[in-house]
Amino acid sequence: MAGQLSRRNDLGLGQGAFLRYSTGLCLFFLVAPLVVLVVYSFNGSSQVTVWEGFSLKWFAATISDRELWIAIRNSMIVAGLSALISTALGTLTALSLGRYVFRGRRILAGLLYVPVVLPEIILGIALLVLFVLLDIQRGFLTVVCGHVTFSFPFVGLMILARVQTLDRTQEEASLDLGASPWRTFRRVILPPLTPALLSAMLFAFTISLDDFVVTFFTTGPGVTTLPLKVYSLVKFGLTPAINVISTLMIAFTLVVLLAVNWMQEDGTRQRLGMRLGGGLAAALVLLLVMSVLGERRQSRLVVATWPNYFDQGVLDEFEARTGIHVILSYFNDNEEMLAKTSFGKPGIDLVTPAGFMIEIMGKQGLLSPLDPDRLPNLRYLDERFRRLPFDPTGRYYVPYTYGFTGLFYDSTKVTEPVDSWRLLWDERYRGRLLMFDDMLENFDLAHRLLGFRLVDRDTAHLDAAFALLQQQRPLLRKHESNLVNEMLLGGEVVAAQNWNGNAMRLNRKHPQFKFLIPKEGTLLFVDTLCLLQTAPNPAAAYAFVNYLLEPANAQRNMQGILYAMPNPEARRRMPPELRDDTTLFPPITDMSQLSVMADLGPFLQEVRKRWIRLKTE
Amino acid sequence: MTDPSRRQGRFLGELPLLAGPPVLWLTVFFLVPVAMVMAFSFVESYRHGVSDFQFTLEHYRQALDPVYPRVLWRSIVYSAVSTAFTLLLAFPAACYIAFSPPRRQKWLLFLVFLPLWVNLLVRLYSFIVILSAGGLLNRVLQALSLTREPVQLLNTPFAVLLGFVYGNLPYMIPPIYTALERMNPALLEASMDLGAGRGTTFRRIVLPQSAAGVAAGVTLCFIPTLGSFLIPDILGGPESLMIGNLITSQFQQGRNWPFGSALSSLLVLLVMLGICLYLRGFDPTAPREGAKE
Amino acid sequence: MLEIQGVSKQYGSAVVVRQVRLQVGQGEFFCILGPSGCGKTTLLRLIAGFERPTEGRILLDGVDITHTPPYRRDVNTVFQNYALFPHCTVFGNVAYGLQVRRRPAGEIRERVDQALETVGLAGLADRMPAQLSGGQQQRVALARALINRPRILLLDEPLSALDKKIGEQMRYELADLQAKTGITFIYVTHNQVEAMSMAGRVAVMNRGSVEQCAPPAELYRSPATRFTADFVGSMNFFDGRIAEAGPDSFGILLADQTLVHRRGEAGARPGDPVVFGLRPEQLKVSLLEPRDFENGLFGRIERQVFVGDATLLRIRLSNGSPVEVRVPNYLVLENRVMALEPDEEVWVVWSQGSGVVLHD
Repeated sequence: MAGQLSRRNDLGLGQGAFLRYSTGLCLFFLVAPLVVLVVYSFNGSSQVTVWEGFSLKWFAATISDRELWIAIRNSMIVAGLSALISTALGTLTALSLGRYVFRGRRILAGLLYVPVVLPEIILGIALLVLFVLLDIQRGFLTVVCGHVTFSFPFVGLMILARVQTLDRTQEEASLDLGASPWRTFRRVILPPLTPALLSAMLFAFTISLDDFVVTFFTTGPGVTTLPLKVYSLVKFGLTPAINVISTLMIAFTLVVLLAVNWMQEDGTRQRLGMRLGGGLAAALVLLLVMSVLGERRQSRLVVATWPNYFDQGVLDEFEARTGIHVILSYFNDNEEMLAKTSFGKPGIDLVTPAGFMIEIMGKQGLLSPLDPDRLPNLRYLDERFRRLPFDPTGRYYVPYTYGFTGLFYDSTKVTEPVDSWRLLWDERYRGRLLMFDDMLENFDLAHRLLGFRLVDRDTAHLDAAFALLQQQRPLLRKHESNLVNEMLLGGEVVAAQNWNGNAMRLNRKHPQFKFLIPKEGTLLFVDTLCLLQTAPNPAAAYAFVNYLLEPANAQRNMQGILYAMPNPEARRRMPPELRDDTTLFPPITDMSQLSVMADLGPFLQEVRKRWIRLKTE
Repeated sequence: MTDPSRRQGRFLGELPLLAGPPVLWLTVFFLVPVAMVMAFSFVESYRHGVSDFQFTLEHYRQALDPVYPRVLWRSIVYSAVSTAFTLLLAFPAACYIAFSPPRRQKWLLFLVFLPLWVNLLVRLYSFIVILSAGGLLNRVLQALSLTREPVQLLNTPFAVLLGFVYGNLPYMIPPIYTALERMNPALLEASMDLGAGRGTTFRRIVLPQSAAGVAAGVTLCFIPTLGSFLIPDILGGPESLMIGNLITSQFQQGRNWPFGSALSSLLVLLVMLGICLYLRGFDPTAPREGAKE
Repeated sequence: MLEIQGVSKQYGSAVVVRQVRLQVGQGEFFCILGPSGCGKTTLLRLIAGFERPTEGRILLDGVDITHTPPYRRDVNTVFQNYALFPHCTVFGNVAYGLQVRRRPAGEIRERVDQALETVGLAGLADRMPAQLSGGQQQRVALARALINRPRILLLDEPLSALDKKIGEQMRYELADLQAKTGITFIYVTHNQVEAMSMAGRVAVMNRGSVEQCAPPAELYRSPATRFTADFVGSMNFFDGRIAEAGPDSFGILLADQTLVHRRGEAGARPGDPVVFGLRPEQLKVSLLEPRDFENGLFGRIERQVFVGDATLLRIRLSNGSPVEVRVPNYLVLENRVMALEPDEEVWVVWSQGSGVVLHD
């Protein structure tokens, strides 16, 4: 690889000051972000962007995060399997293309390039469609299939390059000496190909490890890979844990690269390194297999919910008591939850949709009726919440939490008195205002400001509300539901919509962030626990719901997530300052307030059209 | 001696049974699904329990509603602009590396590839750290008294373009580097021998010689960017929505799979068009260089 | 022992080997000689089993092996580029054939040592092929191919990549080896000197067909076709017509009406068009007119080329056609020949018994 040019460069070409500085700039640009990540992983602050002094506390926290290790393990398994399969397929491809002339050879060769050049997202959705139509539960196997599909053409092309340089007569010599074709393959063709095979396999392993897009579309909630874990950390709550993960990844990479470099120096090192690497790989495989087998025996429960909606201590205790491992999968909004649960086999047991969704999901047959006999702890619930209008019989749901949307702002930056949602339309705070990334929250608020009600399903009102939102759009930083606290705390925005529990969590530590219900009123919500028709593990779901309803657990859970639960006994056990907090427990005089949002029916399509337009324009 | 092309022996199994598994795999996991997506785009609706598989062009009609072509156009513009900037940054670096002594080359290339070993999401996340209101860049700007209030950098088209350039650089430098590195050094000597100065030599010899590498690099950057959804999703604001985000939201939230399929088909069409243009400009049989190494 | 019966090989519309019939006997050193692209390598590959004939059959010891894969044929090959396995040591290469036949390790070691001894490479067993010289690699390839004691050893231009001197030395070694082992060798080459010096019989191939198959001396003395005559050694050709054909007198009227005589030739009738061939070394240059028992043509010396052991004279005959004459230089060394000058007019003479008559 040593350059021809470089060997004869007495002319001093290409080494001028301009090139040197621009290359320096370019490499600085490439490497600086990585350095920043590494430095910030030693940050003591719980905020991502603010430096608060050297500390290893996030290392400790991250390394003891079990979900992270599961994600790493999953990534390793997927990458290992797909590297093996794609190397096998790639070798076959390379051998058949490299040494045979057959009909369709050109077509195969051309076909190989298509997955390489097509944007990954196309492969992702195509595989999603395939697996859903074939009604295949998405998980390890589907992800591996996806990864192999994009990596084996690369591998094939890489090996092909080597195959084409092979000396054909050696193969003939072997056959001539009496070796069968298979023996010839093993003893004469394979050895010179081995370095190419190994590097192709390593390459396949790497791109599989790195892949997000295809994994995103082909995985189920039970199988989270490292990139997906990072994605969910970035999307659903920035924590410094990401810095630590990055640092670990960079360190791992550097160690591997340096080891490979060291090995290449001479032959004995290479053999030693190969043996060492082989041993390590074997140990790793053994570990992974044991880990998977261990988990297979463990019962799993997949809960699709919002971020920060279950207290980790409560989950840990549930696992300690029952041995059931709870996997949380996060959704952005009710729309996404409906989409994820309505196609194929989502592999989810429990969901926590807002009440009005029950009507829609019930109609579509997505929910399984609950058996009250298996939920003795239902008796602790406030009866008023048991039969809300969206499901008058209460067959499909158990009420989980209730709360409301309010206005959340930074009182150090918004100094004038605030009492209206109009703050989110204030020209002075252009670019520093935030709305939820949630269609109904947006349109409900706009209707409210205009004195209308969304449930009236009036197209004229809808258009007026749409106009109001359009007018607001240039002032907005973003539509965002999950990082409201982080963006306020980081100073990105000064005012936002927020839910009471979320707001309380920040407000208790940083009282300068004020939360209120503006004078125009607001939307109350009730979130529920529902069992999906396709749930893989309903027994665990019953056990979990029952466990959550136990007053002691409910109380602990409420204190952790700061959302109210309709569990009077649990509320009684809360410390007084929380028990009587009206932000946590909004006084509800009329139960119908809890279900103002209803299934809008075909009108929803109209709303959705405008919402997409609003976000797209 | 016998012409090697004639020497296609057939002893490793009579016929290319070898090609069977790869072909089967590509068919099942690539051709069929993509064909399904294409077919889906003509289907009336697909919902849980209430699918209507009637043929319709409605989704294409809807996709040509002015809103969506605008997003498509934006995707093209973002891709083009970010590719251009990437090229501008990558070219001098590739030159410098190609002309460096071997030992330095090794290290420089190592630095170029280093980001590829770190997950894209992680790298994007580092931009959040750097660009946010209280982040590094704003600190530096404030320390230099260039601004008093933090500048909004995150959630802007600037951030999206920056993300693209950053993500694409490691794919742009290697092909150009390879093309230059393969160049016969005697060409430079000949050019200078014939009286051309450094500038002329660069313009008349180095630039044309690197054309194939540049074309490969541009393709490697432009096409993935066209379908990208992660970067605008994480670094972008409300006005940086790209076609990839639209498709994703149709499949992940909108539940309108046929419409998402129509958008995907348009994207495929666009990419194919781009590739055809590329193939017309360059020899299709030329070896691919440095592709995703 | 080996019988090739009407074998042809076609690639698409190109016929590479055309209706070849050959028989090679036990213990023979058989040579296939021909220019590049004449199909000789393909013929060898057909025998080895790397290719299958389009038509015809190949029999080994009376058994049809036309469709037997190479690894079931008792035939081994020494490849032109040696095709040593670069990832195996010399020992590994030579032992390969025994290993794939699962011979016991002790026997393998013994036989490999013996084979290396035979080719003069004792002590190099642990080297890698890349560490050997060309000649040594050649010997490894030879040892590797011989270790199975094949019925036939095929050699595909094995000496073409070697230096001239080493190549010449290897010729003798190969011939000795063949004599010692008694294995049938089929040797493909484009180099007539190699063929002549080693082979018991030589098959001359041209454009896919065997033109003639005979011992080297016979090939040289009485080539059957103009191609053979030209390819084996060199020859001056004259077009002509048979003027008289009797038991004692046989005359050919050349194009310029010169009548040349030759001793009897069977099966020729007056009036037949023939080609008359004379080797340059058969000709003499003389200032005197030809004598009774000689034929002669008159011409002028155009050019002299000194080639060491001889001098080649290019003479333009009075009828305009050129003739090449080879004058041995021992005469010059002994000062027994007068110096010839360019443009000197001379007679080209040869005895009436010389020359070949080719019917084509």
